[in-house]
Amino acid sequence: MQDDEISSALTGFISEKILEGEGADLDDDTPLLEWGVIDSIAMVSLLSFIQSRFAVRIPDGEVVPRNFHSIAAIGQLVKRALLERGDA
Amino acid sequence: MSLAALVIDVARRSPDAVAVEGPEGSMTYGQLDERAGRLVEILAARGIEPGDRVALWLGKSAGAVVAMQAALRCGACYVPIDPSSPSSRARRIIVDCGARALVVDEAHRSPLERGDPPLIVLEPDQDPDSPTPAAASTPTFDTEQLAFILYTSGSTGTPKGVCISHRAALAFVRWAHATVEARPADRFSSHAPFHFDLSVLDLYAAFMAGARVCLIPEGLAYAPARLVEFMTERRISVWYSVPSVLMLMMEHGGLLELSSPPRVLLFAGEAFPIKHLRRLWTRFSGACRLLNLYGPTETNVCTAYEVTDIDPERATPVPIGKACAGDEAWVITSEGERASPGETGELWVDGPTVMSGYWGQPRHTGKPYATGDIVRVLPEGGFEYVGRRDHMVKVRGMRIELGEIEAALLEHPGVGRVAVVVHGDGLEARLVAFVVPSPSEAAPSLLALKRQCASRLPRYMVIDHVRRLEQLPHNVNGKVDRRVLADSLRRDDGHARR
Repeated sequence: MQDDEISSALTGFISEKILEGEGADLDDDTPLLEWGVIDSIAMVSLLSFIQSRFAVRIPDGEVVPRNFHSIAAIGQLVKRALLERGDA
Repeated sequence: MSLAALVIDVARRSPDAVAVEGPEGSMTYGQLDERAGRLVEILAARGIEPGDRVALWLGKSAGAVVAMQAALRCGACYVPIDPSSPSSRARRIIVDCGARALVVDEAHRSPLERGDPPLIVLEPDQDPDSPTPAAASTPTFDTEQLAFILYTSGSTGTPKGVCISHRAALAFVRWAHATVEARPADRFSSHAPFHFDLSVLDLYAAFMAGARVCLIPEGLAYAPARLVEFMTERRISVWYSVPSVLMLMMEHGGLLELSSPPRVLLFAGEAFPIKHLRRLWTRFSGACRLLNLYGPTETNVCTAYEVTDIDPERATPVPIGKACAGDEAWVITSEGERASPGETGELWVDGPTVMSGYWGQPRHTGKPYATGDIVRVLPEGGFEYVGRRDHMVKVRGMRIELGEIEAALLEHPGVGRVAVVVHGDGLEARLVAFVVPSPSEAAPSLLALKRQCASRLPRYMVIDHVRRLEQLPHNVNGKVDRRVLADSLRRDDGHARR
């Protein structure tokens, strides 16, 4: 899966579901945790989106701020998970 | 007695007992004592004196605990600042309390600007000029002296400093220590951040018992399963958090599958929805004590209720219980009279745990303290929480003055008028801003408004949703009618469900 495909899927989900369709100004480097876009409740729905959209499960140990501070960081995390599953 | 004496006593008695277990490893009472002693030297050499304020702006770490101890040993009081606060808010607090020193870590730097008063900035483990730390001494002082100032959300847009004396803190800690029957083998969780009043119990009830306090790193908050894992791995025996965290741990972390829960689960900060508390109680009663604690920052914990049974018919949260820790609590009705059993009114509190007042407001003695909480007097004694009489709300246990969020949003050029309401409760609670855009500007997006909040407020005060209106509804007194706004959200929910 291409990087921008992962990134646009994540942007779409965060923009539509978490920001109620108001994520037009969202970009790969928007500080999601710092601006309160993702909190512990939004994290639950984001993780289940990642699981269903990319068919990978993010291990609990990876659910840490440095992996979720931006769409770019989440994209890298998803990519690593896909690689580990053996189909990048 | 000083709050600092608790650690000094244990360090003399059993220096090798573990005091703090943090992300960087564990620290014994002996080590805590020594590190605090070294920092005291540095602070004293820089001129910190009894009565001074030492602000702390650093993540949850053993270093933060060292800094608290050091400040107390200097006879100063510490002022913990939310590590996730934007620097503008940290600066406001530092300037407001007139801090003379600021302790930071590598993730934080002084937020002061040119022209602000001078400030000593240091890290908790800075090397002292002299190699040998001074022997721990318990300075003799007045127990009315302040031990710490906790800043809470303020209705006018500026945070308020709640001043807690050594006497008030110790009155509460003694009660907590006795109530949980704390002992040296205990392991206390420290879930709440240090600027939040729940952390006072975690730290000092543990220190009073010579027990261990296990710091939960902030990052774990995003993974409820890891919180449950933490609980098991660290063999936590006394857990204290807001109900929302326990609910997340039940829903998404497998808390109810634990075979040996902590021996005490304490919760406070918001009502525990009864259906969730019932699940917890059904699963763990017998193995674990469940205690519902109540008290605004201004009073420490002032009432408590131990859950010994839950009526299957019960549809409302369990009571907040009876006055505790030597405090007295009573209820004044809207007619200004003392409420009888069955009646509701505002809860008033007086007694040893109550604050000394708000920082910078000498005329407010803090006593007796009118909580702003509406409660019902129960026939069997004690109280049941009913609601608030003002615009202070709780979202996942964090206390928020809606006016402070509104003030921050109004600073955005695209916001003409704004009213913020809370929608839903428990894990579903959301902050919704109703915005009338400025006529001359493009209406700001939700993301832009979140950014606006995040630049001025702590993270838990960032709005979740926005609704745009041409004008705000007003009631007969000309005030913004938040009830109409809240009702409109409930109606939307109704439509969405259909």
